Amino acid sequence: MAFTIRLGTNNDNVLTVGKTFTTELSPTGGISISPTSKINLLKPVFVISYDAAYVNCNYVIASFLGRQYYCIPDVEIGKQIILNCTVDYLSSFDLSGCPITVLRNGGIGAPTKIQDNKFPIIPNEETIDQIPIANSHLTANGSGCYVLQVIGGAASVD
Amino acid sequence: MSINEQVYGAKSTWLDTQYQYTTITPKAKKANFGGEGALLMTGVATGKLSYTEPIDKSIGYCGLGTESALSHLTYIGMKNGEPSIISTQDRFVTNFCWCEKTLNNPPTMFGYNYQYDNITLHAWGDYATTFNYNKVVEPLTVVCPQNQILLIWLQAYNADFSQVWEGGLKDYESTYHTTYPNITCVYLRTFFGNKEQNISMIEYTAQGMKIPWQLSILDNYVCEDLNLDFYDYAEPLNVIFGVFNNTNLMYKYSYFAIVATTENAVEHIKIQDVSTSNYRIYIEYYDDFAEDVRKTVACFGLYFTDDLATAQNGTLTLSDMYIGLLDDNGIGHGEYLKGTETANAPQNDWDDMTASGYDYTKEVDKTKYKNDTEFYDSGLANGFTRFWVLDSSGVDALLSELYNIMAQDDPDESIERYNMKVFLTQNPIDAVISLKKFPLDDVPTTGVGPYRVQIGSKNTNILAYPLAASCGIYTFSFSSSDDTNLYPHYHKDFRDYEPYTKAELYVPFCGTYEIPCTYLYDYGGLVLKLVIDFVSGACTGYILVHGICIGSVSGNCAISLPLSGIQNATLDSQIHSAAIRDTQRVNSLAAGIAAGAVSIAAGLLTGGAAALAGVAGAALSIGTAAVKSSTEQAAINYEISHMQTPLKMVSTASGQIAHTYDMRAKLTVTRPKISNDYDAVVYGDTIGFACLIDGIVSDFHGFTSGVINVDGINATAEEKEMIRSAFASGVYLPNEE
Repeated sequence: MAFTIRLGTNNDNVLTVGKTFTTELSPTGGISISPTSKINLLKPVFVISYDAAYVNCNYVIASFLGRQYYCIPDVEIGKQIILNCTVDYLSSFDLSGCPITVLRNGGIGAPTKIQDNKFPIIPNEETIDQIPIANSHLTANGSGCYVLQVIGGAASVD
Repeated sequence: MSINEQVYGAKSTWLDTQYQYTTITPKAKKANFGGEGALLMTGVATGKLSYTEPIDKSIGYCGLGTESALSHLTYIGMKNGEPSIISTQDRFVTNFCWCEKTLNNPPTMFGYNYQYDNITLHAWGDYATTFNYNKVVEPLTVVCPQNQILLIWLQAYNADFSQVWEGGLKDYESTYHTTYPNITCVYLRTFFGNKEQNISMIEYTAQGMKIPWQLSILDNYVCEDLNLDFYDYAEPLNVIFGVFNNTNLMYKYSYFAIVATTENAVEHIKIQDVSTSNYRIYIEYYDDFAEDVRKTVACFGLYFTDDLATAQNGTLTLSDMYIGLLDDNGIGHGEYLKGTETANAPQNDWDDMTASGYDYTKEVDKTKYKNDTEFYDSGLANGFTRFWVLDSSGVDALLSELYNIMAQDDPDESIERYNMKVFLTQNPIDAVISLKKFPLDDVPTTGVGPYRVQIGSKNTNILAYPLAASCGIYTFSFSSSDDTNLYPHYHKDFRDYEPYTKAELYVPFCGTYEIPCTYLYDYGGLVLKLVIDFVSGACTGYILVHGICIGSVSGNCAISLPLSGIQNATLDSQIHSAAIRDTQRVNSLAAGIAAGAVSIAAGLLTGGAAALAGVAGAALSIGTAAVKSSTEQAAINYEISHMQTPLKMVSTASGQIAHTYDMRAKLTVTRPKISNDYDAVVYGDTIGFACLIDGIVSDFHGFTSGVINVDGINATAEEKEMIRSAFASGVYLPNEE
């Protein structure tokens, strides 16, 4: 039974979710590979016939395994290319529907009301604003009134 | 909430009301209990209603909040032989409905045949042989917002109740409230029509009487002290503010009255004994009266006006047209729109008022009510001491009085008339407790005067006004132009709040208080109430946000002024003592001279050496007496001329530093500075902005870190753990397409 893989390059950040080929090097339909006795699902090794076009590949899509892989090719010029693969777990599965609680995000574009202790606030530098309100009750020194407390009987209206 | 059709009949069978145009649409409707139709007694007859149970409140399309006078009832009854306020009933929400009432039964719409009635006839009871107004009430099930206008009308009397005035609230507020300050009742008149359908507004009248919708309260009246517990669905004259009685009189034989007012109007309820059989109950005009009435009517959620011409015109956007607003729960809180703004009211899109969504069974959010902090007027216990408010000239007069040497009486006369009262008169300084200076021009006084201040029992020339209260409350209001944010959101994010931004309120004389930043942005109503104690000089600043006190700071704002004055009694006694001694000296000298003269005369008369020796001795005695008198006089003179004026000091000086600082309350806000190298794009792409958002992965893009749930994907445990770990550190999600 033959299996096929697709081979190409990917220039995205390793932590990018949902990657695909930047440039696909394999022909339509993929490249046939010979099955080995054992295939490690997370770190498989594929052997393909030598083709100079495949020497710089770094990304493999193995549909029969349902996964995508980064690969480091071991090249035997003229003979074969051994692809040492590591699963790209962020792109092998459809994570789009997974529930998530996001704690940091660049896509929102601006800070939120959640405190961000990584934000570049200059310590010990502040802007001061002062908002006075009009005073219609208290008078400055020199005016005002006096309250006299006495022991006394009834007084008479002047 | 839908109207209970099991009780009020199927919606399709509801009956047209009598008082509307036949061509108007949509139409107001009333219940159909079957049989004869909408009468409450028909409902009893058909088994839909029970005399012992209140009628179903689902018929009410909205609730009246605490801002409505109908949610604050004052019960007046007899106490110790005098009419007085017995109790009050406050409701968070009052349920009501509108009703019609046919003319012919009872014979008169507003008459009250007391011969066949007593208190219980207002109850929801079966009195087949006696008269019960409730029987003929017909509750409305459908009220269409744009087809009627409520007109606020009131009755008021002049000061001596010799003249009565009736008219619209607008005219009363602008022109007549001064002449007719005694309000007996405020009620509603109903105008029907639809201006948008070119149907003029009319006020339905029959037999010369205006026929308004009847206002029926669906919550019972309860006053245990008066043994009242009843339902009354037939309030005459649609009284919405004032006495629930069409004549404002409380019949002495019935011994109770119910008055509806807003909470702040209760103190303006007056009771007057007018005759052998009646008390008159009225409300004295107060500044917020007109607005309180508008808020009460606004709670109904309908179009209303305080101007007759506007009601007759009927155009819903006229300048004196209002519409009450209901909250999301269908409860009216006195808010309204006016003039052209009424076009924005949601009721304009409603076919009828049942669209309000009001559900009387829903628990009321009581945290929204009665959240104002109350401040009370302080009394002044004059008692044994009195408080006077002086200006600077009064202080000058005070100092003059304290240094005034009173005229000295003859010592003998002083001793003769000696009594305790005279003793107390002599030292005014002893009657002075304190003199404090306050940084205020508007200290509360009685306004009567000025008086001549009496210190002890001494009348003075000091003119002053009596202090009216021991404390004064001074309000400082922070408000922004749009009454929303007190301080602008500079960043609209976490940087506008603690610990990055801080706000402090400086309260004069008291210090600073840290204001939570949320009150800067989300409330806009920051008020400082500075309460000053005129007795001690202590002051406390209470910080309120939308009526809720969030904190306070205290200090002292008075300058205590030391006073000194002559101790007249001491001075008086010293001088009198010297005078008495001088008198004694004179008397002694005279006596000595007289005695010596006698001796000399006797010796001369006798003659001889012994006599001459006696004469010489007498002369020497006279001389000695004279020398002694002269010496004593010199001593007395020295004593008087070197007499130290006895002074007494009252109080000590207090510090004045606080009086030199800014007298304005100030809000000081410190906010952070951001690094000049900050780039939002780079920051977002590498670190990401802190947030807390729930969703699914496809809702987000760009750099993202968080906690992901990978249950349900077909991956190995190791792969799932690697996915969780990667998301916790941060991954890059595809950009939005």
